[in-house]
Amino acid sequence: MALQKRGSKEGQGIATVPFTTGIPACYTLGSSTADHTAPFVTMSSIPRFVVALLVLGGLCFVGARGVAGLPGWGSLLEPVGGVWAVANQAELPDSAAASIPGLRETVRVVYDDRDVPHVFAASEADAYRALGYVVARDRLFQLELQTRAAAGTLTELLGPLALGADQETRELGLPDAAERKWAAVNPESEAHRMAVAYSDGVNAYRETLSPDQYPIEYRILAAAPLRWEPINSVHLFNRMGYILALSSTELRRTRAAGRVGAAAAAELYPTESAIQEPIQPNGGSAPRMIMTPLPPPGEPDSSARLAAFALPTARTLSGIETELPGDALGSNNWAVAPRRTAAGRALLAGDPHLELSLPSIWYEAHLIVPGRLDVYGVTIPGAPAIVIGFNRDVAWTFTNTDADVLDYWVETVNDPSTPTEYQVDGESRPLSIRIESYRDRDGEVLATDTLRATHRGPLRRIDGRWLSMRWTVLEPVIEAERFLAAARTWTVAGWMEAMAAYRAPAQNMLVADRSGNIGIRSTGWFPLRAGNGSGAVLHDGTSSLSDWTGFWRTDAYPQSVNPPQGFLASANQQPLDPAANSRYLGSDWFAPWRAMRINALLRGDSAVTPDDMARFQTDPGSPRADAFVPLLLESVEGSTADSVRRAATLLAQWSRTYQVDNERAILFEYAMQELARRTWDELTVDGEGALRGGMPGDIALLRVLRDSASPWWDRLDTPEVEDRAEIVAASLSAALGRALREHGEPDAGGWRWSGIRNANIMHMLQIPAWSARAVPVQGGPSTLSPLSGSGGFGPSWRMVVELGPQVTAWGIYPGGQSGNPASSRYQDRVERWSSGTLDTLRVPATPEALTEAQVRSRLTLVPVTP
Amino acid sequence: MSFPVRILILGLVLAFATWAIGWTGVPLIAFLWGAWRREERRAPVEAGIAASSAWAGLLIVAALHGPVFLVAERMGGLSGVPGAAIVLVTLAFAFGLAWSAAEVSGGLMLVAVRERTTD
Repeated sequence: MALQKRGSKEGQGIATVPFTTGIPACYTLGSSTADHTAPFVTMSSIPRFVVALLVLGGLCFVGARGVAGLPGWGSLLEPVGGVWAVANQAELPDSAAASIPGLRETVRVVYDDRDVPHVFAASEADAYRALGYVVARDRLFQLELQTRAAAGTLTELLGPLALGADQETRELGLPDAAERKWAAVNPESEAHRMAVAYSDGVNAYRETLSPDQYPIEYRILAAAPLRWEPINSVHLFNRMGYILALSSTELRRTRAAGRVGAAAAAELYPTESAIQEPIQPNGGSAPRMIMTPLPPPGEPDSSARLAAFALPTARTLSGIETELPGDALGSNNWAVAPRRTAAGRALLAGDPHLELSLPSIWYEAHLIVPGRLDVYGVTIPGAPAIVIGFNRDVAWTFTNTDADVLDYWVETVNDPSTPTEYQVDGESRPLSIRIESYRDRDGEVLATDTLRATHRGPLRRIDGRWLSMRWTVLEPVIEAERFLAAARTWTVAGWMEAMAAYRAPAQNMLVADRSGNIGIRSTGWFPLRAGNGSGAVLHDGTSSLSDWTGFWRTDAYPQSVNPPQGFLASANQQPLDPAANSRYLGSDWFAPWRAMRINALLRGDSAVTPDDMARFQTDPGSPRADAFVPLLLESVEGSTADSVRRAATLLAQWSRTYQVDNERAILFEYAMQELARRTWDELTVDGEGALRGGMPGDIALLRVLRDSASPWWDRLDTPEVEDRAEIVAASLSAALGRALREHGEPDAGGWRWSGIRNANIMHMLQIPAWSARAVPVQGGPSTLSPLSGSGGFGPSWRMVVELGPQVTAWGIYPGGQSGNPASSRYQDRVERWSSGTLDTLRVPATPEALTEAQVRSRLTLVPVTP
Repeated sequence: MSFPVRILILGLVLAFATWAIGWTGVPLIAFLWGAWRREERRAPVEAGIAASSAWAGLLIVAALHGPVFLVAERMGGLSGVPGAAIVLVTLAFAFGLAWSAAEVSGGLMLVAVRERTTD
């Protein structure tokens, strides 16, 4: 359809167009044979000028202001400076140069063919300056987002939708603690100097950028990168504490006591694990089982019931806690002494499980300062340190200790609505009060909070009661200094000494060295408490006698060096066998299924190779399934119901492993859910159908399952008295029904494990199109490679190191080095990670040690010339 | 001056304007073009075609330096449309800006000429 001016012919000039209103609004839509006698303006005509004016106005508005949640389309779409310019930043150039203020000597950075920067510097300060630069180059938006999350200032970038997250962060006292920690750092200390150097590097990169070079996230948010401050590194470590050490062991047990009494609750959420496979070896050649029958449910504990309402729910404590079904945040590590390895060299494997995101939480880097430092591993963007890795003599890795490092006190305040004082030992003490403002992207105040604190820590009002908390993560210690020192050590003893002063979040630190030593220590601040020492209760805030009295001495930490068994392993299980040391360290530990599996694998292999270590990391075996399946089948042997028989037959066919193509694991998982739901009906909160705070763990369920006469089998909602056979039969039948309903017939393909549980590695802003979703992963609940229900948590950095005359290492994380979604390096490792493959890590001693084929890019960083 | 030559010249000017001052260069140049060629019925369409061509050319240049189509796919993913749609939206945006600006300026100039003539 052609546009033709009324009254003109094709090709004629426009001067003859009649005007009536001064607006040339007399165009008709039609062919060149349009009716020239038609009315000046008709229902079928569109005044072109008006249309053009409206289009121009509309496009200019959209171009300047944006619609559909996007900023101005003009600056976004234009091909020179718009979002298309992101393509220019996607790949590393063959070579580049830049200057960094404060740099003493030229730094050479060589990116290898896995895009890992090898930083060759003349001093450590220069190395960490360069680290800041290269991390910012690849992960600038991530740096800011993570820091804002930890500082409680996300609203300033993302707007009101982040208000809840910011409020929780500040209520927990994390930003305030970071300020106090940074203020307490000696400016002459190494931690201070390196944090400042790192900051110089980040800002040097940031300042090279013109707006069209900002990462794509900034473009769609219409924001600019924030200047990086050294305190941000402290915020970042606080964030790790938030992720790893924010758990309330009081919560579940107290709520359960309000339903079934204190005695039963104590066994449902026990301080000691009923299967002992501790981190500090107990000399056993197999797990020590303490499978006594579970005490019957008792009368509700009324005081616990009241206290339970005062406790924060898991949701208010942390969204993470409610999201996880079990041990997806659990991690694994193990080391094997030379006498149990094929090559006679110490081997170490690390596998921390964390939130999976694009870009990854980790960034791989290698720092070399001749004669001083040669450390390779992964850093968290924003941390001036290699967190997990190795040098040429020592390798190290961590799992979370999950100790009880957070306690609550019920405080008595002077005014329940707006308290200013609280009572301790019969005296009033003033509360520390600060007003927090939350601002939006334009700097306007979105909300304000009044935050209070006692001498113990943040004070919060929950269900009408005032609770203060003390949490080791908030204590004034800078952890980066430990990592800096540890990277320079060359023996297990030296490394453990360097990390001895590490405080939070407590970690099971595993280390091996070139001389063949292996060692492990659960390291962190473990509180000493008055009374029986337990932290699994609410404390009385009116007495200073309930305060923490100190912290464990380092030599009392769970630890072991070169044990007779020839290997060490941790998987978040209870670190100490209470038979050897009964001091309270925590409670409600992760079930030791993963520890049992890795210990079984290591006990059964006296000639371990690096390939074995990598294979173990994705081992599909499940001691949990091995424990439950025989008992489930035994329980329904006498059943004649068709659905139960069919479910039992299908379950018996299962290999009890979780390969991606397995078609029976789903039935077991559904059966476990049904069994737990039916067994723990005594704990169900009226009207909710589930216990707030979470179900008891698998070990408690196993204890009931082993006891066919347990009173826990009886359901409260029926007049009959049920037994084990009835409950298990009903569970299997329901599980089969659900599986058939949701996934079809067992062998029709719908039951494949890869279709049930897979990884969802989301972009940091939760943008689906920028994420890797439905990634198949071998492993299931409580295997060595578990995933959370959403697939958003799992193995975040798999590493194997062989410490011989030359260090040899392999590793992978799910993602890629670049944070640019348009880069080929954005998620290039996901497929290999999914298949369990590890990359060979290149560890050049000099820039020339890499061949041209192994070099992707070069970067030269020079001092700023005056 | 033939149509292709006009498109080429105007396209180069629009590309330069985009490079120099950003997207606002498109309606600005098109406005001038429409005013200058107010008596040419096809001037607004020429401006639109030239603008789309200019931006297409700039995208091709950008594609020589990086994965432009992957960027399009990522952006399309934000709103659940294919990457090609983002490219088309980009070119249509340029066309719309230039066409409408030229059309408006042409119309305004004709009004001005008519009023001068009437006076």
